[in-house]
Amino acid sequence: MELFGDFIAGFGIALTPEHLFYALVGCLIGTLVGVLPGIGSAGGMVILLPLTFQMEPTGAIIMLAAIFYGSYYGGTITTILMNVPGEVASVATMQDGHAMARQGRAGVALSIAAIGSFIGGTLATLALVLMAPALSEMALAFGPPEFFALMVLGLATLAFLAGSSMPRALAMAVFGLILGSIGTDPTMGSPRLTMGFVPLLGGLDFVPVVMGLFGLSEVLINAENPTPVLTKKDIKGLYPSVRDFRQSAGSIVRGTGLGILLGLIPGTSQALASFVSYGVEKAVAKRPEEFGNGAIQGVAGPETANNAHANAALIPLFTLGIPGSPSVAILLGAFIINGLAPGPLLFEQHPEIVWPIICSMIVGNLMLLILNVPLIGMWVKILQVPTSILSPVIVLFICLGTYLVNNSVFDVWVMILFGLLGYTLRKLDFPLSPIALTLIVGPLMENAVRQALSISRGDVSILFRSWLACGLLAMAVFVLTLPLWRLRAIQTRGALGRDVED
Amino acid sequence: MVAGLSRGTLESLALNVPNPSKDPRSSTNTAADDGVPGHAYRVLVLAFLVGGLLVCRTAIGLTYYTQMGPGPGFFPFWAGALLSLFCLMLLIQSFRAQIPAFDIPEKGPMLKIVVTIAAIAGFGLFIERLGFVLTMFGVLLALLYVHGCRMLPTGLVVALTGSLGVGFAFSRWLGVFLPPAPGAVLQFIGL
Repeated sequence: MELFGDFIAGFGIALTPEHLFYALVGCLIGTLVGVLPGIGSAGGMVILLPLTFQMEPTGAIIMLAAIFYGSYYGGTITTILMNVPGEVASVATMQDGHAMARQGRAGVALSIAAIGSFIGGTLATLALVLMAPALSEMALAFGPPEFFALMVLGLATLAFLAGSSMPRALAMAVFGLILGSIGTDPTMGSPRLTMGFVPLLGGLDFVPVVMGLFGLSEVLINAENPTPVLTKKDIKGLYPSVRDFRQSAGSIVRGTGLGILLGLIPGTSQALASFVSYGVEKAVAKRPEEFGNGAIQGVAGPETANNAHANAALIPLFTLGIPGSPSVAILLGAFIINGLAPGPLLFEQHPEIVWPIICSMIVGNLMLLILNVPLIGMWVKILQVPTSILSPVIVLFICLGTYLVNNSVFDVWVMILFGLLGYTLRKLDFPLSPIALTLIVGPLMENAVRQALSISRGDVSILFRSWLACGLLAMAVFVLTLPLWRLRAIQTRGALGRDVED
Repeated sequence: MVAGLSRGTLESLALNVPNPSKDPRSSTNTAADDGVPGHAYRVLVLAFLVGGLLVCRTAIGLTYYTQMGPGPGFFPFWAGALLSLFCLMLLIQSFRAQIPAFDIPEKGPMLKIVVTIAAIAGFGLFIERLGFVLTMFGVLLALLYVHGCRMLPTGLVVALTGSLGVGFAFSRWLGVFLPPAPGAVLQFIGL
C-alpha cells in the first residue's frame, strides 16, 4: 500500500508543468540523438549533460533519462528509412524495417515500432516499480564481498559481450579500473597515479573521459566515413491495420518479457535484447522465410525488446547502484553530480526524487508514442542536414560540455587525449564500453574489496564465504570460461560486439 | 556504436540477424585481409603492457598493506598486473591470429581530423583569453570550412548561432558561467 502511495505521489510531482517540460525536451532531444546516425545514446547524453547543470536534481535526471530511452525510438527512424542504424540496438530491425519501407510501408513499420517500444518501455517501468523496493531490501543484505562478486559478474558479462575478443575487452575493463583509481586515496588521503598533475588529485572526471572516448572519437571516425544524407522523404500510410496489430501482438509480448529479463542482468545491452528477440521471432514464426523481406514481427519484437531493456536496465542501477551499460553509467554520473547515491537506500532516503523519475518514464514513453508518429516528417527533414554542419555542431557541444564540468581547461586536454585514444582503439577493434563502465564501477569495486579484506584482516577467503558471493563468483567464472567450452554462444559474442557501447 | 559494426561479426551472428553490409561505415579490416602489417596494433598493446607495468611499479611505491587492511597501492597493483597479463596474451595472440589493421586516413579525411583536433586545442588555449563567444565563433568557422560547408552565409549563420546564440542561452537562460570576451567587446549583451 505504501508502494502504491509513493507511486501516486511520484506521479503528482512528475506531472507538474516544469517536469513535464523537462521530460518533453528530453524525449525530443533523445529522439534527435537516435535519429542522427553515429551519435549513440551514451554520446548524446554526455554531450547534452551541460544542459542539466543548473537544474534541480529531479528535473535533471528526468531529462537525461528521457534522452536515454528516447534515443531508442529515434534510432528506429534512421534504420527503417535509410537502412543505417541510428543505434546499434536497431540493427536487428534493419532488414525487415527497410524492406517494409521499400514496399511503401515505412509509416506502418515506424508506427508499430513506436507502439511496441511504448508497451515494452512502460511495462518495464512498471516492473521497476514492483521489483525495485523488494530488490532494494534484498540488496541491504549485501555485504562488501557480495557487492564485489556482483561487480565481477557484471564485468565478466560485459567482457563476454563486448568486442570480438574477450582479452581485448578484459584489458579495456582493467584499464578503466586503473583510470578509476587515479586521484587521492579515499582511506589514507595519499595521491595515487596523478603523475604530478594537481587537477588529478580529485580523480579523473568521468565526463571528459567519456566525452573524448565516445563523442570526439565518433566525430573523427565520421570524418573518415561520413554517414549518408537522406534524399527521399515520401512516407505514406502511417497507421497499421488490424491485421498488422494481430501479427505483431505476440512479438510485442515476447519482446517485452525478453527485454525486462535481460535488462536485469548487468553487462547486457539493448542490442543483445533486440538480437535475441529477432532470433526468437524467427524461430516461432509460421513463415520464417518472410523474415528479411518485410516481416512486421521482425520490427515489432526487436524494437519492443530494446526499449523494454532500456527501462529495465535501470533496475540494477536504482536498487544496487550498479550501471549495466555506459548510458546507464552516465545516468549514474548525473545522480552523483546531483549529490544522490543510487543503491538500496535511494528509495528510503530520497523517495521525493526517485518516484517522480520513475513516473516520468511512463509519461515520457507516452509522450514519445504521441509525438513520434506525427513528427516523423520533422525527423526526416533533420536527416537531410549535411554532416558538414552536424559535425561542427557536435564539436561545439563536446567542447562546451567538457569545459563546463569544472570550468577547467585541463578537462579539455583530457578530452582530446581520450578522443585520440578512443579513435585509435576503435580503429583497432578494441571495445570502449568496458573503460567507461569500470571507470565508474572501479572505485566501488575497490572500496568493496578493501572493506572485505579489512573485515577479515587480510583473509581472502571472505570473498567466497557466503553462498551468495560464492554463487556470483562461480557465475562470473562460468561466463569468462564460456569461450573455452566452445559453446554455440561463442559465435554470438563477436556479433553482439560493439553493441554494448550504446 | 554504429561505426564499429563489422560485416563479418554480424555475419557470424548465430541468430541470423540481418547483415548491415550497406552501412558504409561498417568495415573493419584485418591486417591479414589487406596486407597491412599489424604494427599499430602491436605497438598499442605494447604501450598498454608497459603502462600496466608502470602502474605496478608506482603502486609498489605506495603503501600495499596497512594494519587496517589493504593500502592505496593494493588495488592499482593488481589492476596493473592484470592489464599487463591481458596485454601479454594479446601480444602473443597477435603473432598467431588475424589482428585488426590501422588504415591511415586519406589526405582529405586526415585534414579534417587534424583541423578538428587543432580547433578543440585552440578552444582550450583561447577560451579563457578571448572568451567563449569569440573562441567558439573561430572554432566553428574553421570546422565548417574543413568539413565541407562552403556557403559563407550558411557558415556564418551556424557559427553565430553556435557561439553567440549558445553563449547567450547558456549564460542568460541556464545561468551557466562562460568566460566573457576581453574588454567591452560583448559586454552590451552580458557576454
